[in-house]
Amino acid sequence: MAEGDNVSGMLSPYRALDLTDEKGLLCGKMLGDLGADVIKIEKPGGDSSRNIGPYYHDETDPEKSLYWFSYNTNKRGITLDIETPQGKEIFKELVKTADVVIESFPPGYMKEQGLGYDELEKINKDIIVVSITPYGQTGPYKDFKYSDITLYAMGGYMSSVGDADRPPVRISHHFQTYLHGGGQAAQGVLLALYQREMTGEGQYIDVSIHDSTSRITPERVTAFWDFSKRIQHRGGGKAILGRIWECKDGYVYAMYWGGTAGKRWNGPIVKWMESEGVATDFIKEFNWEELSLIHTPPEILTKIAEPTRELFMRHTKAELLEAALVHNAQVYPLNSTAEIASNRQLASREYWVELDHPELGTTITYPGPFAKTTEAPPRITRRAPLIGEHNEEIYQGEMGYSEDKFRELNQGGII
Amino acid sequence: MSKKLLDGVKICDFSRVIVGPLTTKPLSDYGATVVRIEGRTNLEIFRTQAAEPDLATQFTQWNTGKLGVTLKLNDPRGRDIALKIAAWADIVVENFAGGVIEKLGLGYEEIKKVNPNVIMLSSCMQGQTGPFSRHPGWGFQLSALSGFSHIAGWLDRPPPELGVYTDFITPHYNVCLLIGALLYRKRTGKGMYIDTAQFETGLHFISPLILDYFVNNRVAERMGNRTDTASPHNAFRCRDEARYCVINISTDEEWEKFCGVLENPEWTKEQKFSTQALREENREELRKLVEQWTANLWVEEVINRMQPIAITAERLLDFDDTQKVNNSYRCKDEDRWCAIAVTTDEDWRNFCKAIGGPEWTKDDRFSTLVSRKENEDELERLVEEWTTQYFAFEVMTIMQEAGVPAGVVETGEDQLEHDLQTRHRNFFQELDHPRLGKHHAAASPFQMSKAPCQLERAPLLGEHNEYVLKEILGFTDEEIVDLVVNGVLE
Repeated sequence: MAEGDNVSGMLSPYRALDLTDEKGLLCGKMLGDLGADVIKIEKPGGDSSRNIGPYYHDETDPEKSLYWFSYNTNKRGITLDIETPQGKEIFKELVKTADVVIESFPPGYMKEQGLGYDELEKINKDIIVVSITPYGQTGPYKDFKYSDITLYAMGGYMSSVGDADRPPVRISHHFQTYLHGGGQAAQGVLLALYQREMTGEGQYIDVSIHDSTSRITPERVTAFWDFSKRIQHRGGGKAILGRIWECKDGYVYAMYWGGTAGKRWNGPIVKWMESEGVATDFIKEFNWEELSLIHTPPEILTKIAEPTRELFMRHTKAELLEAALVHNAQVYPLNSTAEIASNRQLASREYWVELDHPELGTTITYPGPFAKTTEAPPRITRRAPLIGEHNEEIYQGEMGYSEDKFRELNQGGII
Repeated sequence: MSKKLLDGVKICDFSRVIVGPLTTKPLSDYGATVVRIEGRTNLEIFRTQAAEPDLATQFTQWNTGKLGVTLKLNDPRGRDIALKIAAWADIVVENFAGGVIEKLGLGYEEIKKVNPNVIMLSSCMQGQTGPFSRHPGWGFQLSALSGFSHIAGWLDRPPPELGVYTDFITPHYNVCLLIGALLYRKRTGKGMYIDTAQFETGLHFISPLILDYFVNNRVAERMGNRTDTASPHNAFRCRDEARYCVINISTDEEWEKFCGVLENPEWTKEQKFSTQALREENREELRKLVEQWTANLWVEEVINRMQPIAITAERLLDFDDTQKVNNSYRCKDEDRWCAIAVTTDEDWRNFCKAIGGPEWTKDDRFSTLVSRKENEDELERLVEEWTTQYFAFEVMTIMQEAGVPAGVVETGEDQLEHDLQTRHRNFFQELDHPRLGKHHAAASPFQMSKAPCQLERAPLLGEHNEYVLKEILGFTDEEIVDLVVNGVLE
């Protein structure tokens, strides 16, 4: 069992060993934010996911990866070569103290190392092992080569996003699909912990990033086919009455609803237009219940779009965000990270967290805990570990290895 | 029946649309008893946008296995019954806009009075506190607010409509919080109130970009499908696929209406198409003429245009039968795509081998990642010259066999009919709905060795009113009749 009391965080009594790369880091972070003692186990020299940019001050350095920083907060870090016989024994010793093992190696790797669930269960019958892989442990695609974009494509979400005259498009930058895999893995761990409390048994969890991505596939992709054998084409809908509008300094999101929802949610935008004197008689009198994005003729849609465009073009994103609140209109800016950083709702909720990075001589601002709770609140208190930062603390301090043994392991490249 | 993982866990679910329902869905799928409270006078959007509430297809996706109860919540008696369900429950979940649940008299403080150790989750757009706590919105707008829309799409164009992306982020956190709270309550006896904001959870999925801003003052922009660390890295167009639509025209009246939709071109007035018998006789000629029209339209568009004139049109599913079905018309071909990602030198060598090593692959302009990035427009054009010769699944197979990361940009059809892996994992389970018939819903993306996930269909509106009131709350038959008569069980 982990050190510390068992009431301060929801998962304080539990310890997780995190062997993952970028495909699974979020899982351990979520458990850590909920209070679990998460030990990130890296190969000697550090994990490959430390080589993912951007970097602190753009200095390419495994100790300065902002990706690594982001998804390893609250974890302690040790190095261990689990491919060596001695490394395996040390890992097994750690497993005896742990509740959860998280790994994202290729299917079968842990078994080849003699560290599969069947082996670990013999050492610790309560252990919960979760594997996060692109396609799961079995099946025709299990050994497929992958990348975020290929998983994103196969997950279905991409097919309906983008302009008709260009390729389907993903969300740029980092691996959204891996994060969904990590999020699902965390759900699985929590369920397994609960079951263990009831039955005293651990178990094995096989997470597929492909399925995790298909889970986010909106109804308009999968269910649309299932129920009506239709494909939702990207760039579909009427561009005349799109949902992304230009404003003075960027774009805002505002959608017009048809049917009964139309009156309720479109009304406030019209009132807002009236207050600024840009509402036309047509839009003031328009019966929103009759609006259908499929059947309403283009000339009508144009008459709706014109004053809307005029309203938004008068203002900046920041002005529109504030005015939308006043008018109770569902108009939201397409925020950049800069605008998110200065958002006043987040500030008023004291969302951001400052973490100390003594080795950099600075603090860095992080997205804060993912919930506010009246008991056992999620917390983010520790920056991501340096390579082998807690070797001494864990191997010597907690496992009781002697100075000599510790040195020997270091020199042998085991840790 | 064997015991399910969450057997005995009781959930009172006021939630709606996606975030809340997708939070309680895995709990339901793993055996919790989830009472999903709705009301006929305050139905969620999926219910109201369907022809009838029980024909809401999307509702079936996020509410598997839940019990359906209809209560008029703004009637004191309806509110009292809701409070009784909350008193029975271990967990209460709601995702109204901030402040709404309190107005209904069902806020945490009220529920705590009848259930002191309750775990209650409120999951709204921007959290329960702060100036924007009550501002309504949907996943559509929150995907914009949380920064995803800004970084999706092409830099020379406005971002695309991204859908309700953030709706699929918050539930990861919600599920963990709820079970974490159950574990905590088991240890300490204490319940709690949990406040999650779609805005705040969403930001965790772009943390590195936020840090990049705070640390390096760099504002992340959209990059299309490109990335600094791989090239080629895009969705590439493959061979188009033929699509057919069956249109049934059997009377002169239907023919006239049909010609009207086509805007009465000259040929429709010709003698040889003037009667049903003549149209049968000259079927092949007619088909060619109609196809001049359908060829520019998606199957979906043809169906949409036939709807208002009440002519039956449907997609032809079995292509081999094209010749046998006389009234099928070829529509606009489906453009198909396959994503390819070449990151390492080895990927590049494998890629070149996979496409048969044409001369251009030996060109210096493409020999390193740096040079490929410099000449990416040209590279993508050349890659597409090759990919357009093959069907999307062929491209994926050829690439995978050569060890190159590739994946078909799957449509809903692919997800359900052609993806062998989701089928292997039985990810989309078949269910039978009394009104909608056989359909599929997504199961768990993780498979647990000691806890099977067997879905049950979503409830009809008010389907379990009697069961919940009688078996769970202990109401008598007379009391239930009285509540029905008075419109409380609306």
